[in-house]
Amino acid sequence: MILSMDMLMEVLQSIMHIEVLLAILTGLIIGLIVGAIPGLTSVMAVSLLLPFSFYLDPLIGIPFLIGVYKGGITGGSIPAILISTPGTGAAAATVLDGYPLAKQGKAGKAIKMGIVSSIIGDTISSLVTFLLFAFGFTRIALLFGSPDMFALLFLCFSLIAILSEGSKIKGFISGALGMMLALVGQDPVMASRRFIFGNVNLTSGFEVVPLMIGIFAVAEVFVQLEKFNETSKQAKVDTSKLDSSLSFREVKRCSRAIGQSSFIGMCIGAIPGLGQIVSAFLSYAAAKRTSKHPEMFGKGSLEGVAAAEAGNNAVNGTTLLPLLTFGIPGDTVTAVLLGAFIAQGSSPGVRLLEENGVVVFGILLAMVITNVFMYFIAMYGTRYFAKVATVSIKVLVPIVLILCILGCYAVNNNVFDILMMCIFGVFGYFLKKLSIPAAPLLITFLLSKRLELSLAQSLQLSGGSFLIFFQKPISLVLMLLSFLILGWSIYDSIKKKGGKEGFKLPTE
Amino acid sequence: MLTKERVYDLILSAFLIIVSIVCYYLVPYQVPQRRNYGSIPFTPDLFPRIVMVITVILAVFLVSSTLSQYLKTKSTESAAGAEEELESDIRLDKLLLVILILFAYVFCIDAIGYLITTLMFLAVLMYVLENRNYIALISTSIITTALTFYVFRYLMMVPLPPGIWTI
Repeated sequence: MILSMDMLMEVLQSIMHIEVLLAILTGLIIGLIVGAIPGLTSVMAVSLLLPFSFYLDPLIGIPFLIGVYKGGITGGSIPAILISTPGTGAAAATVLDGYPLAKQGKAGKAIKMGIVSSIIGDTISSLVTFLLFAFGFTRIALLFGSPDMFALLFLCFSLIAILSEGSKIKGFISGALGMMLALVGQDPVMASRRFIFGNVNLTSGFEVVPLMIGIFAVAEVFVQLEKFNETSKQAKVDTSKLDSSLSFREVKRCSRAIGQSSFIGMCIGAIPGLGQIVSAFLSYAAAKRTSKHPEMFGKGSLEGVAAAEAGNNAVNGTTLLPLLTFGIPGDTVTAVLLGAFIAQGSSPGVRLLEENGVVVFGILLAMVITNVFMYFIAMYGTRYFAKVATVSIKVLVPIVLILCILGCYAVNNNVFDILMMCIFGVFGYFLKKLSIPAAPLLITFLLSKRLELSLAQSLQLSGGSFLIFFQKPISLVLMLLSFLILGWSIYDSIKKKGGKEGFKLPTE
Repeated sequence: MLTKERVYDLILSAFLIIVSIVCYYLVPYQVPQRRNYGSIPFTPDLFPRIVMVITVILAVFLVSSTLSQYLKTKSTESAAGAEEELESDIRLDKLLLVILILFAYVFCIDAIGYLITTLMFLAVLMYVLENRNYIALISTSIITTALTFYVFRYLMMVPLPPGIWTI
């Protein structure tokens, strides 16, 4: 067991500082506000605030980001329920039953149910992750040699492209684009400069932060600007209907849906490449299938709201499993968190818990504490966050853009990064217009160099033979799984003669 | 039938094919050739070539799927229904203006400095977004610039481009 009693005491002591708690609180409030404003997503907020977290102590900065993240997901359910516009992608499934409930005058009940299920799902997930790490889960990474690592990454690449929203082909194209972008810079094996076109700023490749902020934040702003006429008319939010209360009995009745969705969420979180949106919809579908009143789904079933919200939050805890064990991010926000961890010197892998155990366990505990705070803030502050959903785009755009610019600049004090952000912003805008999902791009961008390195190392070990990937059990299983998935997706696309399925979702 | 989306997809595929082929042939010029890594023929140009080939294959897939969709629905869908997109509501002019202002910001900031550039940026942007309450416009610009400057310069110790005037 990695976590000893002494260590646990140390962890508890380091968390119970006013700065840490304040950081979580601030993060939560920012996240809730951002999530409540349609047009600002939690991915956007987290990537914007990432550079700021570099200057903070890891035990303050990372819980802050996590607070923003969680606040964002929960905040996103508010406009989803009130004005059928999900504040973030993960709330898309919440609209299905949340909005009908609001129309029946039960908006307050729906929002509170969403919050309660989110908290339950999240807490269970965080505790399970905490226990897994405490019992030495990261030691699994010791079993992975270069071929196994390659096979795992190859599997991730296959999964990511498929299970994101929209057409499979476009998911793969997104992945390919990410790989192409990752080619710029020094190659991981011999550090020779590739595709830098003589520009010395590109020697280490495209900087992740401008890329992320450009594609996820700036591009989102551009999309909102397109709809300038629509969004400048402010949505009316009736705050009087927010008073409908939620009884303990109602929660108990949904407990099976919540528990089931939490389990689904935890499993999905542990698999890199999937994310909250997938989990929310799968949980919703599963709850509908196993419910005693499936006909109510879509017409205002509290169970539906509970399932969707528990599902999307239960991803948060276990998503740290592949992140901290292998350094493989599961979705865009975890990719941001990966950046935060690395910047703080806590490089993922087996040694992480041995060297920085206090920090990591502290962060996990902070996640649980976040939920406690969330309960009080969200339950009693709902009406204020609902008001926030009506903030006008005219004020938001300039401020958000300035924050984006500052965030990019803060990384390297280099104006070139701001230019990159603008270019990636335009790039991200085109991605959205062409319905190309952006998450696979980010993940392949981050993992591409590692893929190449493990390929080179494995081939070096085997003297050039590709058979090495099929010799050891772990890599064999993973490679077979990847081929199965790739084969199935090709077959599926051909069968459908288009491949334009998957989840048709709003932008993340 | 040939919807807007399908046309976009075809353009995308064409673009991808062109880009990957161009990059494939750029590889020998952009990637310095070194000795092999160890004893195996794994050179820095291998992976880029693989990526370009994969991209071309995917682009071809996209073309074929788009065309097959088109052919399948050629006779069934009527032209009228699918064109209902309210094009008039999309404000491309505002978007383009904002993008231009953003790029202008990047080019000005080193020369003029953070404080003045940001002030102008915020004011101009708000004006472009049809904010006619000039008091709010100017005060928000000043407050935001001052606040961000303070946070960055004094709290986070990040020096911002000085330009011609700074505190």
